[in-house]
Amino acid sequence: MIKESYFAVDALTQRDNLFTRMDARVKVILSITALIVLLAIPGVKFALGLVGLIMAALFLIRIPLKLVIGRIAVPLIFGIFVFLLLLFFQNGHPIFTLHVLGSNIAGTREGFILGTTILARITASVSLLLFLSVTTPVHELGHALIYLRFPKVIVEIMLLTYRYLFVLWDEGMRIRQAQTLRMGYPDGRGIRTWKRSVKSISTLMAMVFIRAYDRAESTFDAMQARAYNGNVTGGHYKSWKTKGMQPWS
Amino acid sequence: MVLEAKEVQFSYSDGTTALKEINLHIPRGHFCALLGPNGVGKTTFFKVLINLLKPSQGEVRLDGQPVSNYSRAELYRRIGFVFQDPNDQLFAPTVGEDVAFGPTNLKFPPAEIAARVQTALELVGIPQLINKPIHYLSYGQKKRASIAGVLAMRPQIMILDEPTAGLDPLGVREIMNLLVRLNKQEGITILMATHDVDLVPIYANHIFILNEGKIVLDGSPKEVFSQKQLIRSAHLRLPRVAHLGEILFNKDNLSIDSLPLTIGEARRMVVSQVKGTGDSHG
Amino acid sequence: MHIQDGFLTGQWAVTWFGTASVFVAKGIYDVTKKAEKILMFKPLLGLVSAAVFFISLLPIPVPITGTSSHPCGTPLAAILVGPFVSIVLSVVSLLLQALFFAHGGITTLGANVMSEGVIGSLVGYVIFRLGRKMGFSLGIAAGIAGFAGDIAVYCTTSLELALGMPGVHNLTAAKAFLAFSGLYLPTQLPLAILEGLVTGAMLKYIAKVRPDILYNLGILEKPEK
Repeated sequence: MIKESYFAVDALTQRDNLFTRMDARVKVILSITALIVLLAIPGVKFALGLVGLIMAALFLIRIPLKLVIGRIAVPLIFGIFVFLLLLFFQNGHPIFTLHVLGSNIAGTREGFILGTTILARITASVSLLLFLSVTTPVHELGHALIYLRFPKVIVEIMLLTYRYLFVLWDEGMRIRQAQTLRMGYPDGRGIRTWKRSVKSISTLMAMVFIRAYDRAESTFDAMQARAYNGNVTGGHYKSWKTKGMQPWS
Repeated sequence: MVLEAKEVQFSYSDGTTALKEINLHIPRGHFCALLGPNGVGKTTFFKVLINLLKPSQGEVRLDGQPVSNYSRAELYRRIGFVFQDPNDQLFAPTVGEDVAFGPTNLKFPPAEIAARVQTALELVGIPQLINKPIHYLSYGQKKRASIAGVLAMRPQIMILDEPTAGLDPLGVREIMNLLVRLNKQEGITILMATHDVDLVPIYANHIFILNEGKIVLDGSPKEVFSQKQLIRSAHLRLPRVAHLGEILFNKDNLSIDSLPLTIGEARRMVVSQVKGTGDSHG
Repeated sequence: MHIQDGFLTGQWAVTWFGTASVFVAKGIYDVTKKAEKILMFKPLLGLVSAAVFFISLLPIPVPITGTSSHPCGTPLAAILVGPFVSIVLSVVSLLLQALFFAHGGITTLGANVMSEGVIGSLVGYVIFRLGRKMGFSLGIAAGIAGFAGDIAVYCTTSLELALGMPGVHNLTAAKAFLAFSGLYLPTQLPLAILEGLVTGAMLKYIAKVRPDILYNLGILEKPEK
């Protein structure tokens, strides 16, 4: 399940459209600026405007609605809890009163305003992240981060993680299937079946880790055979897509 | 550019001996194959050849100089090594960035790097994949990309560990044709490890057989495959067509003076027999 | 368990960025120093990071309910590569999660690195080392470290949310903390237990089949021959 949504986002970045053609640095700077403004400005107007703009953009490049809703729903559920918390515990003018278990709790206007602000901010920032993630491949983002003086070693590890996550995922799933065929994950909800599943999953984790360790050794060998000198990514980044510019130039 | 191994021995840290005594000379411009069953130490030997592993005895020389005397950049711009599993080699997020890794480490100017990446990808036939993330490539494309990553360093010798493993028949043919082209047109000396005896005589013009830590046979396909006993004791077999020739000779009294190694040779032999000219072709 | 963009006020977002960056800087320094000495360190970290990220995506079945949950993996990473390097890995994993799953965020990165990366790593690592010193077996020590690390992450996140509740005058931070802890408790307690179980079992398995890896990483002492 997670892999599908993972691949879905990654595959969407491979499409050719207005926003995937845009320089990753521009997108990153715009997104960060928007997030800062979002936190700095009280009220819901900016947030809702941003949501509208992003939704229009996502619609324009035909991002599946299911993905958009799925992404926004999870943090929104938590957001509603925060909203209720603020509504009833914030000082201010009561706008209505509830009788719960013999006591009165009042919802306040101030609480309502703050609560809706937070809900709007959550929706706006999740949409923004989603927009960034469906239009910017991880490697372009990595180079944009290096350009913006983000610590290079973190980007290097991030790009290696991104690359090898797909390899390890395939290996892990093969092990999992082999375990399933040998009753590693029995059906049912009893404590014994659960114990067996947990044992299988820890074995799977250990095996994936061992594979990763061995692969690190052979990858290092392969890097050495191409005169590796400690730099995993080459120099500065300029968009591949801009004519005549290459990522190592 | 001449690569040779002199009395190379290698033992692992746990004490097991992988290579007992290896002497070999890679003739310049040849297409060589190192044949041996699985687990015989082909990969270990290659790693010793390219100085990733240090031999416990003996040495490997490139143009008369021990490989350990070369700096990494000096050595690997001359000898390229393609790993068996392309996932080990392709670590960068996209094809272009991965192919650029070698030339970047050799400190070429950006324009030169870009040109090399382009040329290398064209040579292996995947220039359109330059911006593709690696995980969208098929296995065969990954194989090509990993070869391009080595080609971009413009080596004179290319060593490939099991380049055809895991490919379907069409993929095998494409990769082998690519290697032949690199050998003939670009003049790159090729040394590939394989256990595919049917493939070897079609493409290679020099064969080494590795068994029990030693090179037990060394020569042209014709010379090597005439040593049937040695081939079989090395846990290999004759190419299928050669085996057919052997049976025709032993059981059906067909007169042949040497075993056919390829379909073409077998065809000429059979045609000459059928036509009754008796002029069997070697 | 990540704090989503939008929950924290600007002031708190900046505060957590500041606090976390001190620890991240130490982590980056350690990684850079070690990578200069050991060329293999960067590819090794890339692969370990990919493995831990993969592990954190695996659903672990929760008994009886039939649902499943995900481990956070930070205590494990801290045991494997040390607490400060593990903080760097947590930055990587939080960035990727923000991007792939829109999970967490950019403005809350500081807060999330602080809870999941810094606290999770340090607590996990210290507990593991203490456990080993007290003579617990590898599996048991790692198990307790996994459990404690997870609980510590959960408490820190609740605290961050409580402190960051914008403009709540009546509600004290302590009350808000209790509210958030209470909200998370039913999901986090079983998860912490599971995290402990799988972390312990996983290390025990590695020690059984490939002890050499644990010697190389300095987790186990190589026995004298």
